[in-house]
Amino acid sequence: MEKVLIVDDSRISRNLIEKIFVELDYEVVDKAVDGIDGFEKFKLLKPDFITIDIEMPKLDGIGLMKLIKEYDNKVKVIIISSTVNSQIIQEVIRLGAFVVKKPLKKERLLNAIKLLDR
Amino acid sequence: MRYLFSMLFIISSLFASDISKKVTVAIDPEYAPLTYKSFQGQAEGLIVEFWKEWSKQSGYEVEFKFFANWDEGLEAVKNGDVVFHSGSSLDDDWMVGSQELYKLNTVYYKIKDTKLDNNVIIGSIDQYYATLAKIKFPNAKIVMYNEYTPMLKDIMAGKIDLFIDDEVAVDYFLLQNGVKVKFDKLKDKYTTNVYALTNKKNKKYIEIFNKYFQRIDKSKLLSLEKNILNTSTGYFSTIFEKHKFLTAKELMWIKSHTISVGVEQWQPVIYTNTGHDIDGICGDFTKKIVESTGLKIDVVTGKWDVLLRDFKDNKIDLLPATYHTNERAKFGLYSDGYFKMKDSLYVKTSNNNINSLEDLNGKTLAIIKGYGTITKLQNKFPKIKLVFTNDLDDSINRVLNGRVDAFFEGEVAANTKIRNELIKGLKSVPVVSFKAPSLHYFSTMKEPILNSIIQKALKHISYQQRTKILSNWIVENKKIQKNTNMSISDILPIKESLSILFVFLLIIYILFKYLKKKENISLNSFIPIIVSIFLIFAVLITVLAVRNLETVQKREVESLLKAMVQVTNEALLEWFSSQQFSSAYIVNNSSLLNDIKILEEHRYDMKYLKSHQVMLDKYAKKMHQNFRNKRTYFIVSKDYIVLGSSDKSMIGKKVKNTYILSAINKALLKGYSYLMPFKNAKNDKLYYNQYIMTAWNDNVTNEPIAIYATGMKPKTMLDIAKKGRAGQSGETYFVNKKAQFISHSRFKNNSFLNIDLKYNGEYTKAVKVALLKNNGVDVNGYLDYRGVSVFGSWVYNEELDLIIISEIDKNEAMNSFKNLKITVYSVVISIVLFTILLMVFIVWYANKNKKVLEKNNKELEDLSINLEIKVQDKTKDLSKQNEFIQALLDSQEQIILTTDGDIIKSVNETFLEFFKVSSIKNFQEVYDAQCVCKTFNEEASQEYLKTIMNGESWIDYVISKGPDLNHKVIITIDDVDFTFSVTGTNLPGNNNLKLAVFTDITEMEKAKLEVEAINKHTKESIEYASLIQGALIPNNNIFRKYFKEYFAIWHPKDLVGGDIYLFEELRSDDECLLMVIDCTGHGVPGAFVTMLVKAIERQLTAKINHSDEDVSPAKILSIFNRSMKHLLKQEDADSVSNAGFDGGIIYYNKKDSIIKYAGAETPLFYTRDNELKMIKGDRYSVGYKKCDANYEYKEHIIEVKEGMNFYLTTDGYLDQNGGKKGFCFGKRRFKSLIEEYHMETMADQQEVFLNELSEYQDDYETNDDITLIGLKI
Repeated sequence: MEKVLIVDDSRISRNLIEKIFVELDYEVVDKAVDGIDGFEKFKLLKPDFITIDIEMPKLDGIGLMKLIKEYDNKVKVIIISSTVNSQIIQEVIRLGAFVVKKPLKKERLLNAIKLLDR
Repeated sequence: MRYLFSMLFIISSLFASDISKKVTVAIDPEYAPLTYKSFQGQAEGLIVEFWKEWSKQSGYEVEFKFFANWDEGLEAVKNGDVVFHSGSSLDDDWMVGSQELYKLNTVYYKIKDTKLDNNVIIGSIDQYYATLAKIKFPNAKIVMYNEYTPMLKDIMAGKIDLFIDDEVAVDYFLLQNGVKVKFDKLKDKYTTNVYALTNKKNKKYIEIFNKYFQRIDKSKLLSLEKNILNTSTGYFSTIFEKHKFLTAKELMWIKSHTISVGVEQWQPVIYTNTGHDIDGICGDFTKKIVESTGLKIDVVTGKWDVLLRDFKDNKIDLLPATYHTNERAKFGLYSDGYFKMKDSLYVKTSNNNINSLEDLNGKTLAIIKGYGTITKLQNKFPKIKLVFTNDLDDSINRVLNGRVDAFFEGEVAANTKIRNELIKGLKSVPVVSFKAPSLHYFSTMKEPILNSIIQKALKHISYQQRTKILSNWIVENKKIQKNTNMSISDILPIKESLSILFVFLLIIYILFKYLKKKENISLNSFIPIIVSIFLIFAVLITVLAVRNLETVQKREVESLLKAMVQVTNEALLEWFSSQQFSSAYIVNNSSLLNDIKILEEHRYDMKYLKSHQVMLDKYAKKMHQNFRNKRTYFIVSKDYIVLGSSDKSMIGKKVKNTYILSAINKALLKGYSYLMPFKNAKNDKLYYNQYIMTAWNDNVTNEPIAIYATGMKPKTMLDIAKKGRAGQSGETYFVNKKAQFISHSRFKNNSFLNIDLKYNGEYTKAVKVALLKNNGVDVNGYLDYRGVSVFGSWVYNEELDLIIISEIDKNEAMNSFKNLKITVYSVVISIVLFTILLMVFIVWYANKNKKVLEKNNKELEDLSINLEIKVQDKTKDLSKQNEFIQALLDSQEQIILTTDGDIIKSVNETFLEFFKVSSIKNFQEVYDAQCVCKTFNEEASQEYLKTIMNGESWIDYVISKGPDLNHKVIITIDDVDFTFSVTGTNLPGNNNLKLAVFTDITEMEKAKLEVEAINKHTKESIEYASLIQGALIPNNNIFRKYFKEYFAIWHPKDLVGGDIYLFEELRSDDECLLMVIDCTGHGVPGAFVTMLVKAIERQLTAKINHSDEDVSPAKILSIFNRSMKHLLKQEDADSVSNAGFDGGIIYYNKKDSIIKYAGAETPLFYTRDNELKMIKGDRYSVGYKKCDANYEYKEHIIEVKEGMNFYLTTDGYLDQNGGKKGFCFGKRRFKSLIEEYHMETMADQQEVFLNELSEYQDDYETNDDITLIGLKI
């Protein structure tokens, strides 16, 4: 069972993402509330997937994604954000991640997982 | 009706709530007055009442279980057989108790005013109390007893000085046993607390008990205590109230004895159903006695003579239905007579020779052995040969077999048996020689107290109860049929129903056969007929059932009225018999007889008569002392001279009144007579008194010599009439032969002898029939003396020469039936109407479909007739059409050919032109091919057709894939590629021939490629444009500097959009500007406008940053307005361009804690102190052609404080369609989201806004660009 770490400052969002991953038979190893928390937990838990929100206190999603990719380029990163502009998309694609637009739907997330698994 | 209620009851029981909340409570049956078993076997007492209150409070059902004694009850709790013990002290480890239920005083009793010395002797029946006594009186000698009685005897005999026990228990015992000795009470300081207790394993139950016990109003508990243990009026008044007609001694006797009751099978007088349950008339009286006294009985069954023998041998204590004989009176005690039963003779129907007992002289008469009448018969009719039988069956058989001439039996018993067992061939002959004898309780001489109890209990049976018993049994012997009293067949006419149903089914069958034959009718159209027939059937059955119900109801009333009359008649007779008996006291006096004889001889000597009045008055007075209600008397000679009288003016005079004379004559003839109150027709004088006249017979000649008339006030008689009331409107009254009231009317005053029983000059039906000495009953209704329609029953009492009538208003009697009838008819009519409507609809609907079907059938018929003609015509036309088609094909621009897949079969002109050949043959030669596919470019890309496609020929492939797929092929002629779109179809009627159409799309394909190139370029441009527009959107991190939390949702509908939000930091670190702008349209046009907006905004912020002026969002909007109009040349009305925006601008000064807002068709939502507020914004857009360039927007200033939330959105969010009906999301829903979630973090709020909109939108397309910004101060 693949392990997932969820990083999002919204409790509602974290729970929603967790629910979808559980339904898709993934193990959600932990949830983090901001970029710093997310990076610490990532280092500790070494998940297969990490979902990151863009807008977060302390360290935003793009910043966290960059750190993670520097630390472990193989980890599969899914950016989940409500504000997706072309600049964000460009950054995400450059780092080999995938972006999913909020509101989060199971189909969208499944599609992203499939693309990253290729 | 009863069944209806039973059904309702069963149904309601099914839906009744569960009774899982139930606890069992152990009860000591001998712990009165705290807990005890009542005479009826119920748990009673103060603690029991406490438990009942607890049950009400908690909703737990309490089941009381009796145990033989205290210890067994506790043992049951310990073993878990019951949950609670009702009340006990706590003295063992396994026990856990509730809060205190009751406190018992420990009291020393000593005989009143006795003195104690140091060496007292104390009695006790309990070791605990003995220990307490030892503490208080260390030098005392303690004597232990097993029960109170010997202890009480000893204290009264002075053998002990004191005894110690629980106060309540002792007081109860003293009262119960009628102990009159007065005691002084010394209270001990020790008290005993009583707790509800359970096993420690069930501790939770104690918690539950305490929880609800605490809720009981304390005043309620005190009131219960007062009611049950009322010391001021004597303890336990409520306990003894129920049996107040019995003495404490009698109650004690009842409690300690079980009596054996001998019951024979003598239906319906007395019998047993199961061998244990006593039944019958006397059975019901016995049950009443048992109920009111608490007597415990054992039923012993057997033949009468055996029972009587056992009674004599003291093996049986009580015989409930016994006739009085002097012989029996020697070995048993009789109660008063309580039920009179006429005797009758029964002979064969064919026997017309026996009409009275006298006719049996010299003949045989069967009688059950042991009957009380035997001696009487033997004495009065010594010539009748009596044959003793074992039982009634034996008697009946002997008559039917001709072995005896008649049998003698109580009328009720014999009639019941004859009717129930459908015995034929017997008839009854009334026994007029004997008066109807009474049945008595016959109890053992060993226990006179039993007789006393029975006697009291009999008197305690009310008139109504007595009437009810008799009406149950005597009239029509209803109770014999009681178990099947009102069977369903009484109400539902099952036989008739089945007959009618059979007839209807037969009619349906015949009708169906007939119609099917005639009309070829289908079952569907037959349904309304079946429904109609069944409807008629249902209505008929209902009418029959209602009619039967009416009969049942009338039968009930009839029985009641008959019982009323019969019981009244019996009561009247009994009373008169007793009065007659007392009157006979005088005439049986032998010394007075001689005096009367002498008076009779001197009847014309007034002086002599008057001189003897003192002696007569003395006798009369003596009699009056013995018997109540006798005020007057007179003695009259057989030639009607008054020999003596309480009215001295009458003495020596001759009686002339015809009524009195008639009564005297009757008495002279018969030995006695009754003179009812009467009204003298001559002088209208009211003779209020009634008289019993008894004849004095000469002891030598046995001839009457005078009459003694005892006068009585009619009050008792009136009281008897008064008691006979059926229902609310019923009355029973007496009528004399002149059809006058000789009782009081309930409805008319002064009725006694003043009202004639007439209405409109006619005697009422009851009177009319009864005057002819006919008994009867009418439950069809007739008018009574008031003119009210009544049901009535009447008897003529020959002995008293009066009529007894009992009536009830018809309205009341039939009221319940009437209501039921109305309800039933209403329901039936409603069902019928509904069914008719439904049927009409079905018929209408069926007819409608039928018409359509008929029309279709006709059309089909016409079609088939014309088909042949048409085929012929068609064939003729076909050759013409072929020519026409070829011409048509030739005229087409497309290449059209037919082929079997390999070989070309036919082609059109265009084909020949395109391939530059003159015929198919020519094509085959030029292209060296049978098939057109040889010309297909096999090198072309995958999307083009090849000769073989997926294993099929090209034409089969085209046909099988259908027209939805665009099949294209490249044909190369002279090195030039032509692109064709190909469609194909199978030609009808020919399995192998296929038609292929080639449309030249060479030019179109070229154009398409060009468009695609352009599109690609455009798309790339737009994607690039989206990058540019994305660059306009601020980096959201910038919000963090000014606001505690925030969120920003920016969702353009397309790659680029007309929505934009801009955030600018101004000249100081405390000021910032947020603009949310919704430009004209969406997509590229909208994006263009956003670029313009951004350009203007840059200029504006630059200007602000270089000035000291206060920042005004309203002014910024105005500048936007003017700039947009100017730049887009929209100042003129003729301008082609018309672009602008709606939006809101927030200026925030962190230092001053203010927000300024101006809006163009855009509201600002914010929360302060958990209250949602909204600033609507101006209803004026920015920049449009119609907008006034000089318009000034309104500015709103809000003082802000920490915790306030601000929300700014474009209409894309609010106007998004969704939900069940596709309505807009709307402001109301948006506001309620804010109200519900504004306390959450902005990150969470963002999720809520996104998810709520997404859920609402569901599958609806996104309408517009969406922008929503949330800020928290």
